[in-house]
Amino acid sequence: MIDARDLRVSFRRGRFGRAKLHALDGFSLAVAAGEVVAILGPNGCGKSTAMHTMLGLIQPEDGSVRLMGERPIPGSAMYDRIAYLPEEPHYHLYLTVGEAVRYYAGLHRRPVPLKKIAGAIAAVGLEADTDLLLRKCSKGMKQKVGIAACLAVEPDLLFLDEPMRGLDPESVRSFRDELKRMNRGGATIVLNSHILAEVEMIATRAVIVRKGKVLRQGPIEALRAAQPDRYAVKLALEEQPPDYLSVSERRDGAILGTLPAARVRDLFDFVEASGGKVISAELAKRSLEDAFLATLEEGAGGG
Amino acid sequence: MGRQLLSCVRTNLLFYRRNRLLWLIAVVLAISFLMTMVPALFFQSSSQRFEIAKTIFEYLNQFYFLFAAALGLLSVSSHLRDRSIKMVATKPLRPEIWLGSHYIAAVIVFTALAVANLVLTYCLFVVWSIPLQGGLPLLSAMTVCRCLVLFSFLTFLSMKMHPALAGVLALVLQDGTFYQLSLLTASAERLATSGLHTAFLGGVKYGLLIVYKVLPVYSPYQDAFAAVASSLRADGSHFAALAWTLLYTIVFSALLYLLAAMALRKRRLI
Repeated sequence: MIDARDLRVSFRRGRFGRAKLHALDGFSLAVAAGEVVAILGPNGCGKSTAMHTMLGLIQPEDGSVRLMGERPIPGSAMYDRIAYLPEEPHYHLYLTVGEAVRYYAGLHRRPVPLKKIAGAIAAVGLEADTDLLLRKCSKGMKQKVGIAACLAVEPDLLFLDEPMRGLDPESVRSFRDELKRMNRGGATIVLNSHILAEVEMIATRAVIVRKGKVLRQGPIEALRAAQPDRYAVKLALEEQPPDYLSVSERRDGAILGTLPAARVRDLFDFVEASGGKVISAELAKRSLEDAFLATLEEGAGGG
Repeated sequence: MGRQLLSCVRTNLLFYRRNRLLWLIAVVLAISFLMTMVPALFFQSSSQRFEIAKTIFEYLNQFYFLFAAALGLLSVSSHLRDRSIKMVATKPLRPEIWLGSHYIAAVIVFTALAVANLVLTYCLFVVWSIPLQGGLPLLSAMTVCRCLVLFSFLTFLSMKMHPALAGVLALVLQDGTFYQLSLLTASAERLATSGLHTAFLGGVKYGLLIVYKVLPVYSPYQDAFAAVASSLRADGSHFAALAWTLLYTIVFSALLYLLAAMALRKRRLI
């Protein structure tokens, strides 16, 4: 579905554009039909630029992109099967919610029935605000308009840049369900998000990016499994805890933290010697966040 | 493509209807029109009535010309400046179609305004028992052409620079000014004593003439239409002049459209 190879994109910065910022530095990504791929990375790592380049909105200095086997040309017929929700959408604020969704859907070559448009507006919970001008909508409502415009055209390939931004928990849940439904229907989804817990619930594969390069990618489960086992412990301890214990909280005289499974025996010995007490110790669930942070740390260590 | 174009045109017309700045400009022009024309409506003689009806017609056409300038400065540039073009550029729609929809919407507005003015003037003629004149539709068509030339020119300029600057530049770049300057330079060239001066002034003259040729002419065949504007009567020769005016308008607008489309292609739309 997507075949991006060795993409290089740089932007000119500073006075007279003399400084060069490498937004993408050999970025490669292959996405098969039916996948839900999350691109993860810190701010400014090139996630949005990667999306823009894959969509053909930015021409790479080097490398190649193929979307559904074709070179992406903005405005071409191929875009009939693609929907994109930008990170910072700039809507036509003089339109109402209903007009905006109808307009954005109307820009596709294949006609979108009004029933589908109404259904998309209802799916994001804006049916009562159809006649409200966008300039009077909240940030979250505007985000829902963008989502509804994407849902209305029922795309084969969906690019979502920070789709959960500004959404309330209820909307996040219904949007997540909608994405899952679309994916079950065969849609391929590529999303950028900082909300890793959400990504874990939707994505089948994650790509971790730093400084325009893919550091690691793979199925979510594999990324999580690649992390060493850690224990979550709760201690009653007067003394300063050892360095290998990552303290997350101190509550009512108790210390809560995590540590590598290999150091559990050492901790127990330390607590015993200090006259403290281990209140609880259990194998912690390995999260995508752990994998993400560990990958970034490794990447930073590697240069 | 037709459906996409229709969708864009409909949205552009909504933009005109809901843009507060355009409404403000329209209200200011309407107030100035009313302040000028209302006292004149109390004149009684039939010859004065004819003059009043003619003045109202001319005044409203001038009003539309200024309104066309406002549309040219705002229509495309405001979408580029508020970056709502981003939502269009990421759809299966070529930017050229989007740009073309602005021209079509503008022509619809200019035609609607010109027809409204024509109907109003004919109503005044009927109410005041003045014989109907055949030159009025011709002048209305001329107004639509003038508005489109101005709209095309300002749309292109406002894509390349800030609309305020584009407006000032359009005021400075008047074809008449450059023509007068070229005549002055030609006179100076004839009076020049040294060969160096003559060569320099000759170069300046041709430079000015080139600029004069490139600049938009808002009223081509003005002389041919002067008699129509005065008597509101027209014959076959005037319709021939209108055909040439129409041709000039189409060629000039198409050229500016192509330049604007090229500028749009080069622009980062996200």
